[in-house]
Amino acid sequence: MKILIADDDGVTTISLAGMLEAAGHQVTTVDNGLTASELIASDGFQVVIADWVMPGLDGLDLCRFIRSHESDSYVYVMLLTGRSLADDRVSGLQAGADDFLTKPFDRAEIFARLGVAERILKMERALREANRTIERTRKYEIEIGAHIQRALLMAQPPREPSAFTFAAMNIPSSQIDGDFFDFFIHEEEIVDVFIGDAMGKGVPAALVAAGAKSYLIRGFTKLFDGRNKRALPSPVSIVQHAHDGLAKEFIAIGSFVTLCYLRLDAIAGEATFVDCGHTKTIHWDNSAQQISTLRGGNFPIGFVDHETYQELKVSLVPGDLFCMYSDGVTEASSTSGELFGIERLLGLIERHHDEEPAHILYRIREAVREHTTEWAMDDDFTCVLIRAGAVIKPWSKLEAEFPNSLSYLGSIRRFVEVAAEDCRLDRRQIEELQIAAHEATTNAIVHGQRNLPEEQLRFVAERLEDGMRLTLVYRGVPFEPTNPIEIDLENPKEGGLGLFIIEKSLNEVQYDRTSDGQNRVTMTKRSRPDS
Amino acid sequence: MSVEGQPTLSDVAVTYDRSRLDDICAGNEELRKRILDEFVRSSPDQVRQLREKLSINDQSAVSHIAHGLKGSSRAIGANLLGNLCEELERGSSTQAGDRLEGELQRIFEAIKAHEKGV
Repeated sequence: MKILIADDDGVTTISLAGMLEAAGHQVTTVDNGLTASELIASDGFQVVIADWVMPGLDGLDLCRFIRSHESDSYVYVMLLTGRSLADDRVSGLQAGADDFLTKPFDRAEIFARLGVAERILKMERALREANRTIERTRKYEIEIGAHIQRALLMAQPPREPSAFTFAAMNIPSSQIDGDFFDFFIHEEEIVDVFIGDAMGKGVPAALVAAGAKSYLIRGFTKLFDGRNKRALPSPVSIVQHAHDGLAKEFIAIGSFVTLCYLRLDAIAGEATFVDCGHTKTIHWDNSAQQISTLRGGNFPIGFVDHETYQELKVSLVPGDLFCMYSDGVTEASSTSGELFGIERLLGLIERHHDEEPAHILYRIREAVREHTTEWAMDDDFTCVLIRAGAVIKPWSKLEAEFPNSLSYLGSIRRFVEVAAEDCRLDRRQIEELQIAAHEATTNAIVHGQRNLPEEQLRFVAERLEDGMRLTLVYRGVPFEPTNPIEIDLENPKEGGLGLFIIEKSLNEVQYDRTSDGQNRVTMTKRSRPDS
Repeated sequence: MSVEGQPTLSDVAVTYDRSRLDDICAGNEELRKRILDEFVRSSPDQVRQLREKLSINDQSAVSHIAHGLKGSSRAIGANLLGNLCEELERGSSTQAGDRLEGELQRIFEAIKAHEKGV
């Protein structure tokens, strides 16, 4: 073993070191605690034998130093002492000592005690290795879970023409949750939407959620009479089918799924829902001009063996808005522990019910982000909005803030896409604007705010008569490109290739400073190239 | 002897117990020599410092130095000197200091008589 002896008495040091070296150990000796602490921090000793009384840092202080410093492996500390009082030994143990050697020491006892040390260190190494393996496995499982979540549990909002407008967002937490949602457009006027949450976290929750989602789809397919396409299976029959198929399995593994299944039928003018213990779906009733929550009384799927589900109906008129969300929204916690809560969510939707679902969704996202101060939530943020009928009030300006991190580039591109889709830009023009935003944001993160990780990136999208103006504001190093832009192909990264792409992707780009000294990039994309 | 006529720790200990180093060194004569050399080199200075601190009645320094010399003495089997040091460390004897040089001299003579090459 690699052993450090710290003792200011030369006779003791030579005796001990001589004995241990002769037994094959690798021994280093120092005559004070301070030098010992420096060596321990850098040299990776497995065992430290320290005298209790030493100049500078004594044996107890050295113990405390060792225990207060992170180390790749455990350091076994033996205090060398003439003290035999129980109180002294308690002090030594409290300071972090593992064992004691009493002076004058006995050869057999020393080797017996070192044998104990070796055994404990071996167990500790095995434990650390097992923990590392568990951690590697856990990370791998989280990656699989995240993949399952992205690929199987979340759906893209429908893009085909319908009597409804949709928006959906899922921001995964550091762990994998069992959130899921999906949409079925049966006809332009009839759509089913469900949102659910499997109990627990990690891969098991993701798998349970995938099972539940699969049963809902399977139930619809099984119950649907293909000869009569207008006779859709009722929401309650689909949910009941899923429960009947899954309850025993879920109970056996101690899991369950909360769910809200919603059917919006613009022809019948009614919304039918089955609430299985999920967060209460919010409904803006446009005819009554009031907001409420849809409340059912059923247990989650698989919570009890036998459950008879009930469906409830509310009237549906153009302008009605539905918000389905996970508890990651309402239970997002501030630094002081205050939850975002249903009241804030209701207030936001009531105030902005006449805006487009995508923009209301961004407002919710921003409000939750502001509430939590930093975007580090324990639960997934999952939210789905459905508006019946046309958009009532078009937006003119949309704002969003993102953390100063390259990992948010995907979210930023999505923000640009959502805003640009309302600005009469075609798909190619939207993609060009996304590319320009991507490049400008990368510049801001990599160069401008490189040393300011806590800063934010602020975006403002403005709707123009013939396109969109996107403004990016950030702090840090100002950026003023040379004009005209020339590409250095020998060194494209430094030669302005990104700037070239920005310029070519836009109709106008301007780099300047705001009145409060922040950097501003204003990017304009128009629907007519020559405008 | 103590004032009550009872033997002290010092009185019942031996000057130089050679078996102590037999146990430590297990036949390693080179190690034995290094340990004794170190004792012979360092102990006279520790005794001198002890006497100096005793003369000015600096008990804190006396305790510290006596603690160190006690350890090295007992490590080589010089148990009587070790016990004298323990009394000084505790501050329980005023006469122990006067016996230090004599005892150290006896240890050196015993070492000389029993060991080769030290």
